[in-house]
Amino acid sequence: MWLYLVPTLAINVAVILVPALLTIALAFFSWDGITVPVFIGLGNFEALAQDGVFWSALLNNLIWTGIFLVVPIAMGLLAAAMLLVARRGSTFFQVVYFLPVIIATAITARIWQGMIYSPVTGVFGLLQKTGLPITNPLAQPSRALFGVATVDLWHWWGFLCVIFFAALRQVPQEQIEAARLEGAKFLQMMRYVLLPAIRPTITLMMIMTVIWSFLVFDFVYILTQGGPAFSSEVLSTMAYRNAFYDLNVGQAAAVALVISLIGLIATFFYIRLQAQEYKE
Amino acid sequence: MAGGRRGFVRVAEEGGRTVLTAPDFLGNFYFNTFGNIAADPRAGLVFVDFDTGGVLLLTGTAEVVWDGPEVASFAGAERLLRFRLEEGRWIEDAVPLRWSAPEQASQLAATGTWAEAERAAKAEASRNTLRPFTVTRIVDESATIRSFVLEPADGGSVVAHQPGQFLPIALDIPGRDQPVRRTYTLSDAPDGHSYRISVKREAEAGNRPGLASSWLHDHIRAGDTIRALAPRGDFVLDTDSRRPVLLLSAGVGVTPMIAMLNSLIGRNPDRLRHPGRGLWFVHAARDGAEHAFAAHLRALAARAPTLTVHVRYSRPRPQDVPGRDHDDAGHIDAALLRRLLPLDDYAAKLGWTDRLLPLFIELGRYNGKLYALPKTYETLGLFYNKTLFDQNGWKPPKTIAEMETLAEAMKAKGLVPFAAGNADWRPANEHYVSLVFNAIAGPDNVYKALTGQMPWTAEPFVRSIDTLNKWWQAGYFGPNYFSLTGEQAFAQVATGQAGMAPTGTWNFSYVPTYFPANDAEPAFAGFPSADGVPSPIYALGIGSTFSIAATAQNPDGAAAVIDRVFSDDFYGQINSVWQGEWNTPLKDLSKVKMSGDVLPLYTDTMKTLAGAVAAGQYGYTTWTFLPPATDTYLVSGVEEVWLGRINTAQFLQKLDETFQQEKAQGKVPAVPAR
Repeated sequence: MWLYLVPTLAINVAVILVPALLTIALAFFSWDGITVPVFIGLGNFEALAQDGVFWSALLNNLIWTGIFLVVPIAMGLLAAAMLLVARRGSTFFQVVYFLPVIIATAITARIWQGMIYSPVTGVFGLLQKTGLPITNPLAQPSRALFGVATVDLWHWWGFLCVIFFAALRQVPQEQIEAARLEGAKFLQMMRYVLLPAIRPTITLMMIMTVIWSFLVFDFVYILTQGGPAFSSEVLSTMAYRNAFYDLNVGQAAAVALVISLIGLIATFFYIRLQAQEYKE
Repeated sequence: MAGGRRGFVRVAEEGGRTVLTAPDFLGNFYFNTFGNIAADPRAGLVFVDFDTGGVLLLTGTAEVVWDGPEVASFAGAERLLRFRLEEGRWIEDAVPLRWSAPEQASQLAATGTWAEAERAAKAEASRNTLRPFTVTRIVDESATIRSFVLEPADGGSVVAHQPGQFLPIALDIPGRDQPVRRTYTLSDAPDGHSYRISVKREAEAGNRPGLASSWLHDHIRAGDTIRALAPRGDFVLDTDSRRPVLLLSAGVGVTPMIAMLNSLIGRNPDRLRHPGRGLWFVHAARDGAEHAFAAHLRALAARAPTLTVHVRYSRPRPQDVPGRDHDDAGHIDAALLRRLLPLDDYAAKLGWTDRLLPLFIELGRYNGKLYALPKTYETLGLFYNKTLFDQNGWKPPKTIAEMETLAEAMKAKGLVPFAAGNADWRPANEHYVSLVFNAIAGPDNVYKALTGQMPWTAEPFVRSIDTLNKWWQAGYFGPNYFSLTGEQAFAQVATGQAGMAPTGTWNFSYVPTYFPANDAEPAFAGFPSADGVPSPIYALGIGSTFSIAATAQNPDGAAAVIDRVFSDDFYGQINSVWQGEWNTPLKDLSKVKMSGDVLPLYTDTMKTLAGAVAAGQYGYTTWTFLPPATDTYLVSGVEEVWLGRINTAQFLQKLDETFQQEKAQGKVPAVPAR
């Protein structure tokens, strides 16, 4: 029976375990990717602690996590509940909401950059001409991160909506009908029937959001490359820059380790939560 | 059966029976006769004598000898047919035909006869008998290695050896009841009349010095006799191959390599068997005292242009000079071997040194050897819209002050002075840093900073960044720098929305797309310099480079491709359809023929540039001359200055820290002396 585990185990060892161990090891070395790595102990982590960009990137990841824990989950829940209540056209809206998820992230990013945000070729440029004081958020240090987050939100929330809608449909129809017969309003229905029924799904999505938020790379890299002036730099773009531009692979591994550590904490909570549910 | 030279059938008596043996040579592989014999050994032979008409009929049994010493000693034979005679009959005048003597088929020249086969077998047999040799010369090659030249005591010639083979010798050492047998590699190419062995005095093993080597070193003098067998060994050089040769050795292991090298270069390096065949001689020794054949090797390297020698000493003595006695210290490692192929030989042979700007050949050198050559080089300058300038009576600026006045005039007209954008390529920031470093601090100061004679925090660089920041704060870069792509920004020069584009020559590739469509005439001028700096300075950048891997299977082919790219014809053809990306570093562009569609502006600019480089009026782009982490910090750091998050001093402080750190790690590219 154990033989059945061998293929997946082999793939996991080759694709995940070995690179992971190498990354952990490299975090304690100074390596330019070509010559022989030199052991420097905690040197990479000390350099990170002294690097203002690292802390601002970490803060940006935390802000990002905060945004994604609230906005898309709220939007998803609301839209899913509406779909459940207003059955008419729900399939159409599901498709519309889900569409951005299936567009390649690079394309989504380029569309927003060129056709929406751009003051020359985008909708923002048109609005500027009508006299609206609107500027490209990606060009401003104070708003660049939010500009990127908006694009990711647009691309992301439909996924949550569909997940929540699927969960809501599993809620026993009798409970909903009973509540309705008993005169529950929409908000009361949400508060007392629907949300408690799909709580495990919401928790899972929130924990995954934490993990995903620390892995975010593609939209940031395409839209701003972490700029202007590091204002939208997150840990993953920093690791990328360290590894492939600075040729400082050890430092990049150290940043990656920080990302993994946060993911690990989230995973720990998730597993503990699951164990509790299992007991119940 | 294919026949053979006269005498190819051997007649012999074996056990009272007559046995005929004939060779079978390489044929059509049908094996009809042999197949029949394998199935049924009964055979008949018919011999016709066309002189007399007589026929000899023989019957008997046949067998095929597939292998063995007889097959080996008969030149060309693949196998033999043996025929045991049982009965024979001679019939007079059986055939009426009379033929003249047949002409021998030409391919039979490569086959032997039984008489020759016998001589060869005898010679081979004598290989295995000890023959006396006289020691005619003894030479000390190093502190521990001594060469002995042996000539046959009986005055005959020697069995020729292949370079790499060894010589088994027998020494009569007193106190030993039997001759001591040893083998020593022949350390010279075959010359027909002598052998040379090079023997290292073996260090004491278990408190006893190496018996034979000590005896040779201590007791053998010129005139003594040593007995030896013929040379043998499979570790030999393929002298026919055209592939590059790497001779890799350490310590006394150098002996077969010297034999191979001597055989390849011979006594006349001008007449190599394959002149283009690359030759590498990599050797490791402890120090100069232990380094055998050093002078010989140096002499060969000086005479043979295709020979590259690399010698490493593991523990060089104080008097061992790097660059003279050895190339560097250390052991031979993969990194040394994996390195790129030095291109010096090709540069000399294919005339690149004459065709290319010397600066770029200098830039491609590492430790004195050429490893890389630029595919394209680029510079920074000012693109502008000549139509727009003429309409407004503007002239391309000659000084920084003129440029600032012009920029203010453009702003007053509602134009963006600098067409610039980094939305698609954030490192576009460094184009402007490169411009001010070269135009305001000046290339001499940049050179000093790159070579560590001046920190990046020095006053000229502070002035450069302050000026750049002043331009940013004054709005020269326009409101949309972070929103525009480089191409969009460049297009604004053509449309007249922006005044000028301080950017790189690669933008020439956008000129045909935007300028004709807007009825605008493009122009390009050098970026003006500050007082005290020659103007204009062309900051050099290298887009990509050519190298050949040391492990390349066909380095000559690779060199031929590079050679083609560096031709006038290739320059003309590719630049006719694709401007800006293939500006190969040719010295003289006057012979280049370009298509009539190409703007004279482009051709003229590239000629001016090549001339300026040849005249030494060039600067340094940050992306080609700064080490990686310094360069990436510069890209984001200058944004921080522009956006007021840090000041010039903080920016240059961090830039200098990163640079000094990378300089200490040896990551700063080599900068040719100005």
